[in-house]
Amino acid sequence: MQDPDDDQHWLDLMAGRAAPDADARTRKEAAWLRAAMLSYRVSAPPGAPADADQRAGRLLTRARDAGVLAAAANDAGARRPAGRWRHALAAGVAACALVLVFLPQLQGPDEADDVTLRGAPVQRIDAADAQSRRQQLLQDLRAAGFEAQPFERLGRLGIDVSLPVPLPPAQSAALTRLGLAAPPGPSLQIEFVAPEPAGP
Amino acid sequence: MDLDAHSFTLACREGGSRIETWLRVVDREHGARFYREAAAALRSWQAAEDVVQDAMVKVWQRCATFRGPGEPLAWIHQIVRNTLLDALRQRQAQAPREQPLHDDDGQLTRDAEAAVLDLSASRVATPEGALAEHQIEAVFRRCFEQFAAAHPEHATVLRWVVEDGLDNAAIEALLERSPGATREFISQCRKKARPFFAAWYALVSPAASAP
Repeated sequence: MQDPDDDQHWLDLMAGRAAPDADARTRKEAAWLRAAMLSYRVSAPPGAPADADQRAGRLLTRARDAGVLAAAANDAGARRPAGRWRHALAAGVAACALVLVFLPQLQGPDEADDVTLRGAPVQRIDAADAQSRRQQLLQDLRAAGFEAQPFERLGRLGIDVSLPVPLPPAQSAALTRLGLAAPPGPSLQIEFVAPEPAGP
Repeated sequence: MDLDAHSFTLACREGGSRIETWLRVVDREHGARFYREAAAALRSWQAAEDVVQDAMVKVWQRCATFRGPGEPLAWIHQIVRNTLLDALRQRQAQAPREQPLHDDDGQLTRDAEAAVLDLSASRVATPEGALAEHQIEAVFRRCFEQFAAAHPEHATVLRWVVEDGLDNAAIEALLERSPGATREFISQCRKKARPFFAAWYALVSPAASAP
C-alpha cells in the first residue's frame, strides 16, 4: 500500500514543485519520468486544424443543433438575403407573442415582482429590495431541495441553481411555484435588478 | 475585440450574435492550441474538432455560470480539457479490453516482468553503455503510447501535470471530483503508470527503477 503523502510528493515533483519531505526513491522516480515527459512531448499527429471559416460554420451548425443558437441568428455579421430577414422578423414576432402568453404564469405566487426570461438559463427578477428578495428566494429554493448559491456580479445580486437533467416533474413544479420557469439545461441563473429610480 | 471577463459577461448577457461573435474570435485566435492539444491526446484532427466544438457549445450553454476567478479563456480551456477527458473515457469504454500488464496494486504480471528483465538484459544497453539518445526516446515513446492506450485519461492528466504544473485544485476542477476522489485519482495515475514505464526505468538507470 502506497503512502498517500508519498503520492502527493510524487505529484508535486512531477509538476515541478518542491517536495522537501519526499524520499529518495520517489524523487528519482519522478525526476526521470518528468524529465522524459518534458523532453519527449507528445505532439499532435501530422496535419492541421480545418480552416477557421469552415470550423466556424460547423460550430454554428452544432450550436443550432444543440438549441443554443436560433436558426435566424446563425449568420450574424454576414450579408443576409432579404428572405432570411423576413424569417428572423417572423421568429421575433412569434417569440414576443409567446412571452406575452406565458408571462402571467411566470409571476411569483405572492410577489408583485416582474420576472423576465433573458437568454436561455438567466431569469431576471425586478425587486425593490434585491437583497432581501434574494435571501427569501434562496431559502425557498433550498427548502425545496435545490442546490442554490448566491452570487454578486457587476453590481447585481443573483442565485445560481444546479439542476438535474432531465428535471424531475416535482422539481419543475417547485420552480413554477416559486415563480420561476424550468430551464432546459443543468443550471438556472436568477438575477435581481432594482427598478430604475423615479426622476426628480 | 477584448477577450476579457467583462466583455465575456456582457456578450453572454446579451446572447445571440454577441456571444456567437465572441466565440468565433476565441476559436480564430486561440482555437489552434485547443485543437492541437486535443489532437495530441486523441491522435485525430477530426476527433479533436468534435471535442473542441462540443466544448464551445458547452461554453455557450454555461456562459451565464462563469464567475472566474481568472479570465474566461482559462475557464474555456478547462471546459475543453474536461470535454476531452470525457471523450477519452468514452473511447476507453468502447475499446476492446486487453489483458492488463499489472494487477490492481500496480505490480507487473509475471510475463510483463519477464519481458522487462529481458529488455534490460539483452536488447537495450544501460546508460553506462552509452545508449544512443534516439533509442532512449523510442523506448520512452513506446512506453507512453502503451500507457495512453490503456489509461488515456490518466496519461493525459499526467501530461498536463508535467507540462502545466497542475496542482490538486486544478485537477479537481478538471475531473469535477471531490478532493478525496482526486487524491485517489493521483495515486492511481502513479500506480497505473509504473508498469508501463518499468522497461524505460530499467533502461535509463537501474537506480531509477520504480519501487
